[in-house]
Amino acid sequence: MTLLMALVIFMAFTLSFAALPFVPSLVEWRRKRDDQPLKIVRRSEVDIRYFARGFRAFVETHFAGLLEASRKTGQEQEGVLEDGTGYVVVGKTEIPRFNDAEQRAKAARRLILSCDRLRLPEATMFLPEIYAVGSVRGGEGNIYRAVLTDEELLLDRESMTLRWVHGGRSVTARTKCILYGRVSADQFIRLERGCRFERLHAPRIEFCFESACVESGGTVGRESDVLKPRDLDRPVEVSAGRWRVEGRLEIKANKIVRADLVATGNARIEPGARIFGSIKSHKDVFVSREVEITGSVVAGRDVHIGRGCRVHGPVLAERAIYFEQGTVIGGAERKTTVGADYVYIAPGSTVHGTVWAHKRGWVISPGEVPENELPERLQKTKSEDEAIGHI
Amino acid sequence: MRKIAALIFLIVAACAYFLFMNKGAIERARSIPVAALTPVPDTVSVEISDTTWAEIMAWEFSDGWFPEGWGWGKWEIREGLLVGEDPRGDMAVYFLPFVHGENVMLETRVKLLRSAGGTPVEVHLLTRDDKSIHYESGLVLRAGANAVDVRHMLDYDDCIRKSVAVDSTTQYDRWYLLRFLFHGGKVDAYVDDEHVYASATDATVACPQAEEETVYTEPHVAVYSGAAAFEYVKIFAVSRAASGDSTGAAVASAVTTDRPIAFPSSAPRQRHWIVKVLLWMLYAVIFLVCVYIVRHYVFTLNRLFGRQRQPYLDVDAADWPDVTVVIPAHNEEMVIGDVLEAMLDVDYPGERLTILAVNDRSKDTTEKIIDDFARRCPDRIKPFHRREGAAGKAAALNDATKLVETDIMLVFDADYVPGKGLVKQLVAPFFDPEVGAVMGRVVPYNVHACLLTRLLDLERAGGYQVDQQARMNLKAVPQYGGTVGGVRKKALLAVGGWREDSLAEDTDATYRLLLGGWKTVYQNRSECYEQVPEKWTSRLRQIMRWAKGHNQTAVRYVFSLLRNRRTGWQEKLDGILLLGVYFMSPILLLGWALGIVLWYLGEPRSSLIIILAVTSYSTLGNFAVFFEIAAATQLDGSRQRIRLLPFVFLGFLVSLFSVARATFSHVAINGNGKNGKNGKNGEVVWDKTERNNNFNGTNGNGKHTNGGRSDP
Repeated sequence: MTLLMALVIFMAFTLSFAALPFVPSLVEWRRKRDDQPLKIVRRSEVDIRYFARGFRAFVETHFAGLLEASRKTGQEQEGVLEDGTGYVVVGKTEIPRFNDAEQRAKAARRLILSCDRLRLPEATMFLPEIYAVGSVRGGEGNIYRAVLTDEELLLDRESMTLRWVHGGRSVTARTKCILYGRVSADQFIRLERGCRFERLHAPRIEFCFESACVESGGTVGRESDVLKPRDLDRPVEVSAGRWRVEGRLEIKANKIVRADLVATGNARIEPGARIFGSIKSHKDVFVSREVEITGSVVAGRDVHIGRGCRVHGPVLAERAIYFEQGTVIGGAERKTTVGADYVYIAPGSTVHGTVWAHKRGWVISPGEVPENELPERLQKTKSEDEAIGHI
Repeated sequence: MRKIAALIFLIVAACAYFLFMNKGAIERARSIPVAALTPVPDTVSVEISDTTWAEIMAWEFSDGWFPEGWGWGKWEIREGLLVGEDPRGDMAVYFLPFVHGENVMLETRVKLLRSAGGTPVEVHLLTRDDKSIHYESGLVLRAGANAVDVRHMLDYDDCIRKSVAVDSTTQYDRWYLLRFLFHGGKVDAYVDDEHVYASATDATVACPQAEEETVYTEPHVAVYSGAAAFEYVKIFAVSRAASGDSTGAAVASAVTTDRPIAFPSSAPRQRHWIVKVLLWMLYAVIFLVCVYIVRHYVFTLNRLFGRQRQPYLDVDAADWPDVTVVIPAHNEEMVIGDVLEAMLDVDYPGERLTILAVNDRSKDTTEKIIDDFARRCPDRIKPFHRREGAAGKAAALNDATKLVETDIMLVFDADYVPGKGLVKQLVAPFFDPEVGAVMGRVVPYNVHACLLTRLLDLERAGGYQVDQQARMNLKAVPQYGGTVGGVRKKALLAVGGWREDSLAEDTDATYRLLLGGWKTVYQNRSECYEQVPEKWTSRLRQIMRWAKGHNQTAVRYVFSLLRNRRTGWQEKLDGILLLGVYFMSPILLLGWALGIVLWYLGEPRSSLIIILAVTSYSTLGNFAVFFEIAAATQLDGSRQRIRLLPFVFLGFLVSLFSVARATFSHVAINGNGKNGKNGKNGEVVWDKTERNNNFNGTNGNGKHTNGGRSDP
């Protein structure tokens, strides 16, 4: 082998090696197997009723005739769709009839539909969806995949929902229900003490004790002094209708502030204060009792809203939110959003709009939350939070 | 075919470049002329007749670098010296990477530091032949005997030793210069320039006369029973190839008496101050390159494994505020209708949404289209025909802002078509009173058009899906991009409004808001399609415009940001690095140039590492960007397009040179770079990126966005 030949072979090998990564590139460039634009969500993906609407369209497509016939005759009907999905249309009995296998397993494996009211037995698992034109009343300890009703939905004690439920009028969850996924209603949702949840949406969401809800009004508003920036104990930078404080912000009791507030430290609002604006803290926001805030409350860590407070705008925290009894968020004509990884809401509180707990939502008084149920980081920093009167 | 030919040319050029770099390393070592070396003392009698070149391998330890040898024992660089230590009498040995024929000289300057274990310290400078490595030739400096032993291996087994006395009072902390010379089967040894041994006269056994080809191997320095410091080690050789024959006999015959062999200088080399300056510049370049490499990795790893912050995504129910959507349009007849139609269809309370369609001195039918829409929806669409005033998007936005009656204004370029939920998503962050601007994600729509659009699709994915979201996660500085975003009017006016002399009014606004204590928020789920350039010339103009605008912003605000007390350290660090992004291209080119220049100026050891580092940026640095893009495609759930990743190299090269050119020209024209003029006569103009069709696929031209930029 001559030197020239060796050089040529070496160059060829080197070039081949260098060109190797370009082979799949050239193939993809010429064949264009993935050259379409990325799919983007062109509508609001946080529409909580998305699945309910889809299921309603499915029902109208496949069962409109059957439901109408059932309404006229009152007869129960059973069948199987083309895709193999079994169904039962409940008649006047209002109680679905299970076959032997379902009774043995205590698990319904067919779609359940009703043109009227529906009553469901207790301690049963409903694996397919349920639809009723009238109200749905579920037994204790049931597990539901999804429920859609045009009227009221009652989930009895210790029931569980896996994906979504929607009530055309209302959804009521008795004590210690666990509501995974989406819960929505066109008029109101009522959750009793001990219920756990993820996403809730209704014009009015009530968090109640076991017996009955306390009508809370968010008693706020007293005659107070209007606060000026110079009245604060820290230097305030005033700009574009906003007060910005480096470090901790404290608004004294019964004072009025007509500005947005931003604090790089913790923010503490004393009892009876009224904020005509929004509050943002890079750390925690602690709002004492009977405070009114017309704007939003945003925190880099936690938000604690005291007893009888009223917040008109969104309440957003990057870690946890605590509502004491009697808190009212939003209003009948002013829906809003509460969102955090952890949301603990005391019975007797009301939210108008959406509550979204990414990791854990619980109807419980903040003071009663066991330490092992607190956010992980909060357990480690509890002493620090206690230092600012947080817990 | 032309594209393929161009591609092949680039690949070949890249290979040639790397081959050249490797070849340069060899040629450089061979290029030292004998005449340039320090003349040898008269006492040296070895001469050769036809030395066309000589090779020297030298390791000076002042730059803190070991040669690529190997050894055992404890070796380290202390105060610019290679210190070997043998505390237990095991001997510390350091082998030097060298194999050569018999015409070779070893040289070192060494100082005995201390003894250990009760035995006086010894220093060895030895080499072996390749057949009988148990025998060695060279010098051994022995403290205990106050002597230097000369070892001379003959016939591959006999070893002749001669001991030369040294000054016993200065054996420690005194520098010794040791030289050992092989030439044509003969050996000469020197201690401090004194010729202490010559095999021709001193050897008691006849020399082998190099009848066989002798190859010396494993030259090494060693320390025994103590510690010693070496200032340098040099291997100076005369090549057998000088005679055109590879046999030892031929080399031996080449050694005659008419020309002395030259010894290299034994004194440490002094660098010229210019070389020192260049070296420090190169160190600075390497440092910056490494910083940006780390930055890319931090962003990518954060995006893959870190906590993702999207604090405003939850807001789906709210008392939505009044908002104005501003749509600046300059000759946008092909697309203005699409965006207005889409805006009328968005999911937002109709009575709270105003659409301000800004016709900025269009010469096509943009005005008529806007008027038609305004007649159709007089409550929702407000036309604004701007027929005079300063040119440029910032000026148009400034005039439009005066007409905005709401506190929140969103800005969409005319060739962006929003989805139904986009306006709510972009408004939601403004419930936070600290938010001054919001930016959504732009997604290329015309991906299928050509290779360029596909590469830009990858680049955008990396820029938004990874870069912007990572900055959001890390509470750093997400960037407002001028479209698919919005600003709080009060905040913007508080910091001075849109700056008309800026070539990148979006970046400028981002930094002024940051300095004013306002945050910019990135909403990764707020996606909107855009048209990306389909011609390389358009891409070049686009990226050069971005580079100029970005650098202009950097010059204006970098020191203000450093001094600013409203911003945290993360924001300062990320803000400065973001400002410097477009400076990195010329800096990288400078680094390459410096490395090559220093290499040829004779900085062998330092430059070797530096050039390796700089050139490795092309692989490691790019790899970091590649990694970012790969992570983005993974997060986007796209699979096949990742195969185009190697082609991003092309985009990198284009960005590198175009950004560098833009930076140099901007600095050359505007001096300090603060001036924002980009027109031929020094005025700001609408420097639009050519577009080839609208969202319906019809042909057209004209686009005025500079949003959606990502790092080059």
